[in-house]
Amino acid sequence: MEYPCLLITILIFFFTGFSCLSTGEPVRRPVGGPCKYNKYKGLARIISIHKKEPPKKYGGPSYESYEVKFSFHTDQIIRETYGQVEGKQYLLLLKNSWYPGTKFLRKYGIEAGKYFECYLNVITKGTCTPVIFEFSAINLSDYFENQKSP
Amino acid sequence: MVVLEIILVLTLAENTWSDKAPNPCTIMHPDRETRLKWIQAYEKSPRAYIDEELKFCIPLRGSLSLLSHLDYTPVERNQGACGNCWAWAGTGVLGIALDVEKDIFDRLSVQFISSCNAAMGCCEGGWLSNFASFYSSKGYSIPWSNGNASWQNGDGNCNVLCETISTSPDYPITSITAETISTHGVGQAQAIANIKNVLNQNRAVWFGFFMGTQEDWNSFSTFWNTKSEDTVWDFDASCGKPWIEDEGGGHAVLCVGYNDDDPDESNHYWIMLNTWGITEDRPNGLFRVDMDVDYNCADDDGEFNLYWQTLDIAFGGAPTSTTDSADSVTSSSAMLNGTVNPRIATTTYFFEYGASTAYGLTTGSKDAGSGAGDLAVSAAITELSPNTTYHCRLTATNSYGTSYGEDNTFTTLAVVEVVNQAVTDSSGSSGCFIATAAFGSPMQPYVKILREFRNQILLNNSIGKSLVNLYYKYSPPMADCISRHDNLRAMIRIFLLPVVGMSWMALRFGPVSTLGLLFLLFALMSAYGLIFLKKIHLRRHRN
Repeated sequence: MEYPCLLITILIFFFTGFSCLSTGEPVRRPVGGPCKYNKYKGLARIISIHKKEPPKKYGGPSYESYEVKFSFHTDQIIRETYGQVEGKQYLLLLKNSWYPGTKFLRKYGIEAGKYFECYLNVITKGTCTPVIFEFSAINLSDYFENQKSP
Repeated sequence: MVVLEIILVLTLAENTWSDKAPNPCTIMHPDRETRLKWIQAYEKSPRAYIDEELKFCIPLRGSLSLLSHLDYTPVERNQGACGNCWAWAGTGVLGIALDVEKDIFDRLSVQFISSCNAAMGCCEGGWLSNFASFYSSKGYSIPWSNGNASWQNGDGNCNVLCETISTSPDYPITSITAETISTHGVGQAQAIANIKNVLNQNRAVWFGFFMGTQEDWNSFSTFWNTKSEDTVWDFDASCGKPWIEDEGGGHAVLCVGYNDDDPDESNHYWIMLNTWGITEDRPNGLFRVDMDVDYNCADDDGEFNLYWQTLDIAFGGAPTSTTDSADSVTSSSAMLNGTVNPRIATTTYFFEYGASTAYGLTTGSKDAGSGAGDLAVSAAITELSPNTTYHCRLTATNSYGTSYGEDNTFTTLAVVEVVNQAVTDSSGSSGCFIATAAFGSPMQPYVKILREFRNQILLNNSIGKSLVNLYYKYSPPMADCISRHDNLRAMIRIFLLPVVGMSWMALRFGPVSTLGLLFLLFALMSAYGLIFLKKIHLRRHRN
């Protein structure tokens, strides 16, 4: 009884291995995949708000958009060297990478000089974008401004 | 029995290693020897086409960038917390090919594959072959500007449903295959020559790389976040290191060109476009990779770290055609309408028509271009028989095939109906030929009054209809003559004034009242005339 099982097991390993080779498909780890981040709580200060030139092509937001720059400060110690963001300026963008519009700025009270609670996400595993900011009081997935009123 | 066992084993093997199974072979955790065999198999897979003639044309030193063929917005080219770099890089290869092959400069959707690839999770890791498989099964790519097709999974959530993404317009793909560029075991010079050869064919390169330790990834992230676009990354530092299971990872980017025109070989580099948005010092989202690397760079298990691939793509598809309703139908002519989508291949179209679905007659063939969207087309047909039902359909053809619109019918009008149609024309401007010629415009107020009179009074009774029929039979040539002579137009205008007045009265007070008023007026004038004549007669007698 053990012999046929052993034979089948050997055959399975043999043929599965053979199958992998014969397909010509490379066997390798995939690139990309899940990512993990370290989260650092801090404050984002709005440095400037400037009207942005409308996009050259269609596909962007239908509203007048603004370039909002902010800096980030935290009292926590950022362990990752590539997560040292102090003194740098970043763009505040929606999750779909669009620039915010007038109504969005008004809705969330975004003005130059104001501070917002913000989290700095620094990648620790995976190959996604290494540094991502998250605002607790600003819903960056709030695309209401581009939606047509019913 | 043995044969059955072998069949059983083969079946099991096929199921175990089917393309649909997620990460088929990594489940095996193969030993070093097996893994090396598999890598050898990778090396035996289809190779990217190397243009032999180009070999002699590409200068030993020079530069090339395909970036101008890619429609992208650096700040929006950001995968965020979604691990689908391989799809971004693949979409870049596809976008550049679309511009090179079809002269269509458009940003392609990444959200499409992220939401609609049923074989994988939206932010799952993958490879260029996964990308090719998806588009091979779909048969088209779509623009970023389509409804809900812009990138929205940057937060790592898969909350954009495939069915919410608009697939119109689309760019048809006839075939798409992932190809490997020979770089392993061929020597550095040949590896560089092969990559350069592919780039010089105006084909972008998908570059996948692995690094086995967190230390290396930290270095790379620091390089990305703190250095400028003109600094060069050297992969040699990560060669021969161990693959640490929780730390190692792979990333894919788009290689869009190279520069090796500097006499100093240490300044030769590949131009890479990343998908990590922009930084203060990387406004275009680019970085450079040292050309002078070990192309056989591998971890200490011997698994290669650097992979260079491209896509062999053919765009285009059979056209689509829709037969729309015919319009401007008269007793002898009609305008046939339809919609053609050339599906990015040079397409011609014509209409077939006839008294039955055998058609028999065709309009002349016309060019529909090679666009990606719907195109409204039409053709006028004449010499039709009155009061006859005709069948018609639109036919479109390109090098990928022919499509036939559905059969449509229309019926030509009888002569009386032609008159009725003329007067009920939506613009209301048809028919008043003489008045229009005299007053110069169908919108002139007097012409409007006459038209109203015709529509509301004359066409409501059989005598009036007969008069209108007669009018339409004889008036066009008269109107043509009037319109060419100014004096005649002035005379006709004067002649028409009482007619306009009567028409106005008929419209305002009704035809019976108007006739009564006219009769009264006639009677009064007659009476006045009689009295006047009698007075003259009496004066003559007195004298």
